[in-house]
Amino acid sequence: MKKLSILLLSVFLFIHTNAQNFSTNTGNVKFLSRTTLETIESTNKQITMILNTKGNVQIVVPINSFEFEKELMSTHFRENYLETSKYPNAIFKGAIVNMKGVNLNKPGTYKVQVKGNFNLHGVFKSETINGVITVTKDVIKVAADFNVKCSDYGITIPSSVVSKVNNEINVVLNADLKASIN
Amino acid sequence: MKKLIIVVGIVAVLGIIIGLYLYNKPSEFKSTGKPDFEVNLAEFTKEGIEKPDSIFNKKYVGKSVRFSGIAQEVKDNEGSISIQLTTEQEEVVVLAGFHSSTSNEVKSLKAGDKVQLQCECNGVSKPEDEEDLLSEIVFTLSRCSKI
Repeated sequence: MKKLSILLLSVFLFIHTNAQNFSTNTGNVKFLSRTTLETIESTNKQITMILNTKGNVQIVVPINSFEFEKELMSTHFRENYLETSKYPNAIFKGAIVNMKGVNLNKPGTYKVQVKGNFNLHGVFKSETINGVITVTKDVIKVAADFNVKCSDYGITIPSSVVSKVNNEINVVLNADLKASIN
Repeated sequence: MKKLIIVVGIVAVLGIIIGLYLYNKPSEFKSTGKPDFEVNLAEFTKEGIEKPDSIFNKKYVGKSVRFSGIAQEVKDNEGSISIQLTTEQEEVVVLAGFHSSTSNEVKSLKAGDKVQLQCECNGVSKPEDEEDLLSEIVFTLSRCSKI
């Protein structure tokens, strides 16, 4: 009986100390650079995002998966600005600050603030991102809209195109997460 | 002198036309032609797992890779198809992405179908430590086309 109690207690503690993960490998990121001369948009539908019930968040963005309208933009973006053979992924690791008010197992819409470290182009920087989590019966929808400054991450825009590429890029993230095995 | 002006003028006009063509050339959303690498999927993923990321990514990122595999899952993401391929280890994920303009090629594919693809490699991402939320080793490929 004592052994059974210990076993049950262990199982209970295991369940409660191990967070449940929700994830996707097909999340979407769009970015927008707007200047008076040119608007550049690009979409990436291959981001990996993981969120757990403790509020920890991780996002992996394969930079080469960004799709551009023009081939020259794509080549410059990959080879000259982001140097993807050296830094193929952008990685964000953080945690939801206001997790107390969020229940990922209860349907509802929750405004969240996520603080963490963003590694882009080999440069680490602390970032705070505001987003919305919508929990439904089948899926957890995550949406965020924030700005990233190229100069903060050592991304140099050549003077010849400085009037066409904004230093501040608007990033819009959307991902549908499903329960996954830890 | 007049001839020289005409020649310079023609060269200048040609230069402008070529420049405009290159500037406005639409993106290639499909990997075609002779691939940089023809690989066995199991050996390709083994190389990615065993080699340091920097070496694997330097070799393959931005390069075209042709391989055969079995579709494990076919996902439609707002009109763009993404095929997850079967691998020998559960924690190894290979994702082959198709642009919306080429997704029709593979829309009818189902889990279990054998495919030969040519894609551009976007690299591998692995868990950095035990605390990492990422528990899978993810190989990302895009601009895929069905051979």
